[in-house]
Amino acid sequence: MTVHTVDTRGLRCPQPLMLAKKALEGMGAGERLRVLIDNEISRDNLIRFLKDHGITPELSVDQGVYTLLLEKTAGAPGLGDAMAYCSPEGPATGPVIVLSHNGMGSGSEELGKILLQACVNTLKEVSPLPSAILCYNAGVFAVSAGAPTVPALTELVEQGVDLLVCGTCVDYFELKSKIAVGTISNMYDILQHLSTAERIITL
Amino acid sequence: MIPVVSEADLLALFETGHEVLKAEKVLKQANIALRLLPAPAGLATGCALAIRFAADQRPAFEAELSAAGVPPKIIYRKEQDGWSVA
Repeated sequence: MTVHTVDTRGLRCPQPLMLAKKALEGMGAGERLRVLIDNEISRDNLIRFLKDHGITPELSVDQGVYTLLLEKTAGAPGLGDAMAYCSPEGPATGPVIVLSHNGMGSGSEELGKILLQACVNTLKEVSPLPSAILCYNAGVFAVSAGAPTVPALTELVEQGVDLLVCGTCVDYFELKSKIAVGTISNMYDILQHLSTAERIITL
Repeated sequence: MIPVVSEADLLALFETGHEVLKAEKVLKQANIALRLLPAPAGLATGCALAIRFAADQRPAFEAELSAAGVPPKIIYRKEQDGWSVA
């Protein structure tokens, strides 16, 4: 039995739905599709989309990655507009926040550091929460052990915010053993977030 | 939305940003847990930054800052429907 796989990890609605829809449309009856998703909003929206088209996927989860396994049946109805399943019922997508240096703004380094603290400490009170926070260049100091921004960033991660930390930058600043929160990531993942973000805020 | 200040916290405001900078250093050296926050709208008349700290740390908080010459201008407590001077 042919099993196709669509890996949508790192992508946000509507991309996972559109990729799954495209794969389904190219499949024959009886073929199976496996969709990998790493966020609950896209998971729920895709399940809703599939069920509205008579398809009930099997759902499993492993280390934060959801797998939807489904089979295209003979006589399946044509698939409708996937975009319509990403709004307005899903929560608003928050901005991507970029921390690219060790402070907020330019002028005074000392002032920049406390402004960044105040800003990060307040992020969880902003609705919607950021969809992701990206740290690169000297922005990686915000996630190093002992940094005053670590507690608030940890709380944001616990709330489901993706926190990606540039691995090259961590190596450059020799912080690898000091990263206290977030996922060491790479340029590909960071660019994926930047290119799919609805809004980007660079501090 | 998750409140960053709970009813178990107090919020200290200062006259200037320089005082906030100095207060932050003094408190860190004294191992008093704090968070720098923007002062809520309507509270700030001088510096728009504030320091959140646990209410049960108030004696140490004030003692350390007074000794360092940067006592807070005012301290607020969060109420259900706003802020009151604590």
